[in-house]
Amino acid sequence: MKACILGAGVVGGFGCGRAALEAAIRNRSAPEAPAVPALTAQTDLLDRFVPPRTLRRVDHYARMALLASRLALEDAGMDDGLPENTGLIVATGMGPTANTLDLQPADVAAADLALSPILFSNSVQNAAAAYISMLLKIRGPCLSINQYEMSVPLAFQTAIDWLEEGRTSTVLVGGVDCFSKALHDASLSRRETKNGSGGRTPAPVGEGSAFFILTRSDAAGAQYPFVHDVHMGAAMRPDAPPVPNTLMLHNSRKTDLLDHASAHVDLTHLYGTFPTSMGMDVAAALALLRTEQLLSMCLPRSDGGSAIPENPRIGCLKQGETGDWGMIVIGRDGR
Amino acid sequence: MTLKDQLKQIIVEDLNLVHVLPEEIGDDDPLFGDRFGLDSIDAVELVFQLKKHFGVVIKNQSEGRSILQSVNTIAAFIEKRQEA
Repeated sequence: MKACILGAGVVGGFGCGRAALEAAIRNRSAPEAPAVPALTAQTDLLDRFVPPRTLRRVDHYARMALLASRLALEDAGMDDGLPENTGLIVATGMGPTANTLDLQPADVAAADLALSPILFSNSVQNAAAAYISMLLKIRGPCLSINQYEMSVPLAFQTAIDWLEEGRTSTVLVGGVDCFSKALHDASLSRRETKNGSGGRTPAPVGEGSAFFILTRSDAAGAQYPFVHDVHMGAAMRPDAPPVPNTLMLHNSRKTDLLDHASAHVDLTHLYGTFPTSMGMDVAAALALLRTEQLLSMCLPRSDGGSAIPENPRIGCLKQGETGDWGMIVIGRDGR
Repeated sequence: MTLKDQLKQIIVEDLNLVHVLPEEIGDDDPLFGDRFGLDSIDAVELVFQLKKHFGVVIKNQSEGRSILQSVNTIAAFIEKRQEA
């Protein structure tokens, strides 16, 4: 069974919402280089959907997830709310740990074990899922997934499983990670990618959130893009693209996706390579499938031809630091 | 900055009272209730912040109930502890 994508919401260094991401892809423009450097996100737009007084205990991490979720509802035309038994799956590589680490060193250094209750409630791993389910009134199953860079493909696979099992008819699924200077200094600053000339360059650092509303393909109209497949593995082939995030154009239905990709592109200069940045790739893939001009601009065929395949599919490949990998294949044909 | 001004700033900033300015809090205004929207979690947070900023400890709930009534009662408690 394929799962249709009814709506998508994104928050990142490029701005908020599908239109901001499409504009960034179109302009091939990265935001102005910030100080750290990191592509950080602004969540002021959330005040449009939720009274600021309600949000006063919600931290930046959960705000990003909440805003992306709310934008996904808006994109799907579900401003009045989600169906009654909607499920929720929140993928995160680092969880709210980043915020806590940035705020706690002074207290830990002073051996002061007293914890701020507001900080503590925001530090638990399912904080974002809790806020989303409360504020969007989601009553169905609710899950937080933490499998570092494989969190997003696992979340999508779980969402499809729920839909297939009939456990729920709609799933709000997505990922979120926030930038932390402490984590960046400790590990992420060492992350590098191979460039085209065989050298290594620092991976762009970022933060953000991308959420999607999925439903069974037999319950939605044919106009919606769909998740064709989710693949995961433990050892990536050595000839895989030398970057953590890749969008690959396919014009074949064969499952050996690396062999049948006719073009690929890395868009992480727009949003960074945080653990759940694969969600941004999925949102970018939707934008490319929606607009042929963007598709031909970002994924020109390697044989020089300009024709776009009749039923294009884009594989979003995420490669982990330890060789694990996941791919979510998005299409616009389907039925 | 006076102790009372400092307390008002702590209440607004550390409790994230986005809808209130420090100068809008009167010295004798009840802190808990509808006006500022503070609740029991804010009470625990305030106890933590008072310890962090002034090194004073509120030992139990009944003591806290009388101390956390207003900026004036908190300031009186801090001054008394600092004199001791």
